[in-house]
Amino acid sequence: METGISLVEVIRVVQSTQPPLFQSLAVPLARSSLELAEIDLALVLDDPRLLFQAFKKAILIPEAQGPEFAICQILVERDGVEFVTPKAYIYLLNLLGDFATLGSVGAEWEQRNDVLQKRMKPSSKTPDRPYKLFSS
Amino acid sequence: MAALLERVTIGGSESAQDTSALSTPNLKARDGAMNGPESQEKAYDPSMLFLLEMATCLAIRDATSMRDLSPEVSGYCTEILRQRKHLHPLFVERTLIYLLALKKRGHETVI
Repeated sequence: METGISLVEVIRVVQSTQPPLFQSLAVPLARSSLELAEIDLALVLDDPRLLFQAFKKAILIPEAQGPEFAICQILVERDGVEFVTPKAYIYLLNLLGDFATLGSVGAEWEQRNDVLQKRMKPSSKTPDRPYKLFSS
Repeated sequence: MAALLERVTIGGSESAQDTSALSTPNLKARDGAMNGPESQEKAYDPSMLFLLEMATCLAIRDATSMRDLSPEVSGYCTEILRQRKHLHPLFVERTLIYLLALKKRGHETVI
């Protein structure tokens, strides 16, 4: 059922607030985003830049770290995920890098490019080699 | 439901006679920065929170109530978030939770 509630608008509201209200809103946002991602990832990846920016801003809040990382985990590990567009891929790697820097997760998470690249939409992948201009 | 939601106003009991002002939150809280020490001065009325929570619970109860009630409740929640600068942070936080709960239940509900 379409509710007409825009997650992008909600994220914008949260992004526009300053601490300490931001801390109060970022945690429920992260938790609810995870719940929505578990239903359908497309619901949270409408605007990946905005979502990951909010996550990055809230990464130092311990209560927000769990759900944020769980969304990353869904994107990296769940089979059949087809929403890792090149745009989302950059933001996801960036966030995982932040987690690794914080020491919240092992550094190997930062090295998941191989897994993520397989999840990217084939049409958006850079060709392995340049096109042949002249056939020999 | 509309009557219930119309009670979600700051200082609702004080302005109960003034029915013209019920549909939008009564912005009695001080203007100024939302965050920081100023937020401590904003009035906190638990009855508003209770009414909004009850409205949300009624809306997400089943598919029929979702169809009939959720647009109205989500409209109120969105309006509260827009007027966050004038409202208590706890109320804003709970409103965000209710709005996203409505969204989640909406996507779980098949009519």
